[in-house]
Amino acid sequence: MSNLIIKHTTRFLLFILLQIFIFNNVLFLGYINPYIYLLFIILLPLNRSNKNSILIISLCTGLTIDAFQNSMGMHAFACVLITYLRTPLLQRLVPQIKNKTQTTIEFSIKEFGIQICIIYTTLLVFIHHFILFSIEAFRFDILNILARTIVSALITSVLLIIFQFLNSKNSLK
Amino acid sequence: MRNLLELINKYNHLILFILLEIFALFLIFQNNQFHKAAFLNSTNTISANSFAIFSNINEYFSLKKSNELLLMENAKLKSLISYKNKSNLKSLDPFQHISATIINNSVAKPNNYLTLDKGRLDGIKKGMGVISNNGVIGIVKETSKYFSTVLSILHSQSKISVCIKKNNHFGSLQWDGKSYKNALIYDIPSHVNLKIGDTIATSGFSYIFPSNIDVGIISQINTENDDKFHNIKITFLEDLKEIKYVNVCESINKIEKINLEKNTYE
Repeated sequence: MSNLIIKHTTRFLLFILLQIFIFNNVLFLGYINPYIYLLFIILLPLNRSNKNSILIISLCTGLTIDAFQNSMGMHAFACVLITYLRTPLLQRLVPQIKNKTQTTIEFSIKEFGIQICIIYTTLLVFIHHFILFSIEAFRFDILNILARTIVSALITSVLLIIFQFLNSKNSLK
Repeated sequence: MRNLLELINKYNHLILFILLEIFALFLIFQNNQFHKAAFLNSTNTISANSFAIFSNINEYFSLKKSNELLLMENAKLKSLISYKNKSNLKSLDPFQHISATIINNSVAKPNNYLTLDKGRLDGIKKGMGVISNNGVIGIVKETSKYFSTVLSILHSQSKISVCIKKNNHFGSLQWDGKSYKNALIYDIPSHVNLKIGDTIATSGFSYIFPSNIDVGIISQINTENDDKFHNIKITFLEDLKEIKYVNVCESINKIEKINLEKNTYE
């Protein structure tokens, strides 16, 4: 258990630092800002016993990102939403997961396969970006929001899938 | 009562989810009304200090470029001094300047902010203007002891009084939220003759910015025949994404000017 906590704390610090100091300064094509810290939320454990604390952890993650971007609550809102949607989404994709609720379930390519990984990551990233950009624009400008969502989400998801792929290769060795 | 408790127990996850989302929404709306709580913005100590450290490291990579810029600015200032000595004019610029370094910047969001490494103790106050060598950057929004945040010119609520340099017709500059290189100018009547390439400068009517700072050049004019006002698009002279050193300025006669105008209107 404590092993798990250390692993996720390190991951949290690593992704927050990467996001704030490197990826917030990266702008593809002038306006696409990849949000790679989402990988931390996607990889949080999925078991039923501590799902409430995981919601609170994702709120804190969002607030941390907000504090560095002056966006107050926008990332927090989107993060809590995707954390809540994670479990039902994965249950849809992999129905047999319902049977093994006792053990700690952690999402990885090794366990779920590359196809599920791509669908799961991309869907969560799309939802997060759509909500984030809608709140950010704060007016009914659906075409602009959709265009920004699709382009940014694609780049973020590709980055996240590459990260997961590299991670799984490392752990096999 | 017992049923209620059971219900809460059964749906505790959903209830917590809704509560957290309401909390996040509360923060968002509080921020939108510009009554931002003092905590959790980038003037707070932890995030501002870590930005300062990071930008310290980053500065080494751009030393050469900034040296060149400083040399150029020096030369410009020297020529100004000699001009003033010759013409024996009184100071044309009753503004007090404080130099500062940008430690956090954004240009891609619909509402952008900057963070500076100078704060209250260096004499920075709410509402002071922030300018650079060739352009206007924004207006100071919040200050803490050692840091301050700036409402960028790239913010949906920024509005700056500008004029066409060649004939002094004035209008207001606002960002359309699209590219950080362009902005729009409103309120210039359509009978005014304009052409692409004309320079836009600050008007100096507000107490915030000195007059005659070049802001940008006209890059597009889309005016129909029956429009009352021009639709002008400009390109900023300053690269707002790369900028590093700025001046925070305040009019020395600001209070006098405000009081005089107030007495006139009463």
